[in-house]
Amino acid sequence: MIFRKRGRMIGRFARQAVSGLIISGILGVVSFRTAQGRFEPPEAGSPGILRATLEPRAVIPTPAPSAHPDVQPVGGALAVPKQITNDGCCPYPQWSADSEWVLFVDSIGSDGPGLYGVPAEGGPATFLTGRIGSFSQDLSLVAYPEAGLVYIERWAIGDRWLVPSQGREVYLSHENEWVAWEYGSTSIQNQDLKQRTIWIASIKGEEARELVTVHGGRFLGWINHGQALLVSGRLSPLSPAGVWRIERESGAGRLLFSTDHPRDVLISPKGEWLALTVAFQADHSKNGLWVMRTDGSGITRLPVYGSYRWRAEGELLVIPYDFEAENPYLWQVSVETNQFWELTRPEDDDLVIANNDWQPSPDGRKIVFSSHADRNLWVMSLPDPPE
Amino acid sequence: MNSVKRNLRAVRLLFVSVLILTAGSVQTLLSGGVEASGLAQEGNKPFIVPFAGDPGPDTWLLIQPYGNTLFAYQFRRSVYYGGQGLHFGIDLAAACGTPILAIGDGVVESVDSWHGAGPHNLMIAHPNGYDSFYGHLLVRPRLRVGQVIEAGQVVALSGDPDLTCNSRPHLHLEIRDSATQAIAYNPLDLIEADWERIALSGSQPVEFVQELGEPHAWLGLFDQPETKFGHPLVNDFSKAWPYDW
Ligand SMILES: [Zn+2]
Repeated sequence: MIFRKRGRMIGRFARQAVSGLIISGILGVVSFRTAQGRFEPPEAGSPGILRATLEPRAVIPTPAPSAHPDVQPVGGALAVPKQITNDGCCPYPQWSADSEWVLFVDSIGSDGPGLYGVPAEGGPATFLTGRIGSFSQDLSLVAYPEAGLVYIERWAIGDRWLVPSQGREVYLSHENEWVAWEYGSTSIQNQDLKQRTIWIASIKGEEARELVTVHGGRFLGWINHGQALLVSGRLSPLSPAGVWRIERESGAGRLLFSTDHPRDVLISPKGEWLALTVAFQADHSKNGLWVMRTDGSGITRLPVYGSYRWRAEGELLVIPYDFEAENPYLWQVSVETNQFWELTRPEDDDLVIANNDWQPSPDGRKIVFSSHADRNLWVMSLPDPPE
Repeated sequence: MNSVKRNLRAVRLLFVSVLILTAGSVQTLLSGGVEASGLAQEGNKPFIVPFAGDPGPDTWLLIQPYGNTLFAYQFRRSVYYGGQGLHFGIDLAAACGTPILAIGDGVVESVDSWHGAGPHNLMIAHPNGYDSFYGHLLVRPRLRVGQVIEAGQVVALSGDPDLTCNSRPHLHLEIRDSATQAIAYNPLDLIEADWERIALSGSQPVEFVQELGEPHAWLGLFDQPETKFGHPLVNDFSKAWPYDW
């Protein structure tokens, strides 16, 4: 059965490789046509837009990632994914805190909608709870809305309490001590004019207070054991835009990284590191994937862009955006030492991730992904770079 | 000599377009819509990507796919109400002023029409029964209705719906049926590119909404319903995840 599935998958990959060649061909034609200058200048005097940006921007492709980093093999066997569910299911998988189970929202048989779990080695799905919501990192708590109010519940026991967020989504700190939420207009579309006020309270919803208002930004996450949090935007209309660290006690803010609209900000599991994307700046040396410590040190632009997740503190997993390669492949970047490790090879055709939906386990030893080949969950054990 | 050739080609294309558009209308009337599935097979998609070059942080990024996205679901009673609560196109982020390419051969159908997606928009009718619609353009495209367009021709410049070029500059691209323009199709089914690979960008999964009664439906880049403009919401789910907080 597995063999047949693999056979179908390989056939699909062969077709994809061919269609990839066709795409490259098409894009080649497109560039050629553009280079021939078919562009017609826009009408002068058109209403309302910045005059300085009327000229077409030169499209300079992102440099091929393989051109820069010196990627080293990890030695030993490379990772091979293993299918852990059947019959198609389960988007947005999460891990249990002990990395033994993969969890997802589903509705199976008479158990109905809820959180289900499958062992990381595969097996039947087990119904865990009918309570669906935002779970704490250790999964002991779940936050959910009900009749316009938000509750946090210790779901294994069933006791719950109210958080005074007036129905807004709440964000729990890693150690389950604090909670944050934000108020802001949903009708204003202009990202720079949007204001969001960030509130915090104890996990029990007590001592609620306003911490900071951000202009053109939002709450990003808790760091430093709940002692601080990260926000994006400006702290006042005239302050610089970027990623700010806000101390929980004092509300003092410090700019960690200056940029308008950082994309895909990702905080490491223990909150010591931060990765983010800068895109479409006229100065292309600013565009790409940046990493830094959440104390503001070690700011580095990586010579690779793609899909990224933290495997551990300072260890970033990246699937490079490399359209020349036969298939997607996985690297690990040790950001402090600037070392790059090859965890899977472009020749391997089994990293068939759907919807950019993949997550490393808390112990850093595996990833789970949703497969676009069969809509099942697959788990891949990750090799370790040498000490 | 070249211009004569071009004119002849233009006339021929227009003639073929009219024929096929007429056939498309008849087919649409009979079947209630353009059949997308036959065109959606790998390697057989009729259109090309509307930007030159590979995606990336210097060029363009797919920031919202078509369909039952979390964003459209959250705004299903406002921005996306007319489109049944679906994101009825794809959003490709790019710096203001990035040249936009016609996704196929065709004829200009409208410039700055009532279809929205301001500040400027463009609709191109293609001879295969589809129209492509380009929204949030930087300036009014300098094109005439009826003008013949070739695939890959620069037809517009990407802009920002908030007019600042800083807020959320992107191209909103739709593919509709030429006959009625009342149905929008998933552009990922019709534009040739390795979209799953293009989606492997950034730190977050592409988010679609799960209806808890039918939790496996409409969750993939390609598993999305058609949009019938003006028809009731298709995602006004009573129980859904993620929550509409
Ligand atoms: Zn859009």
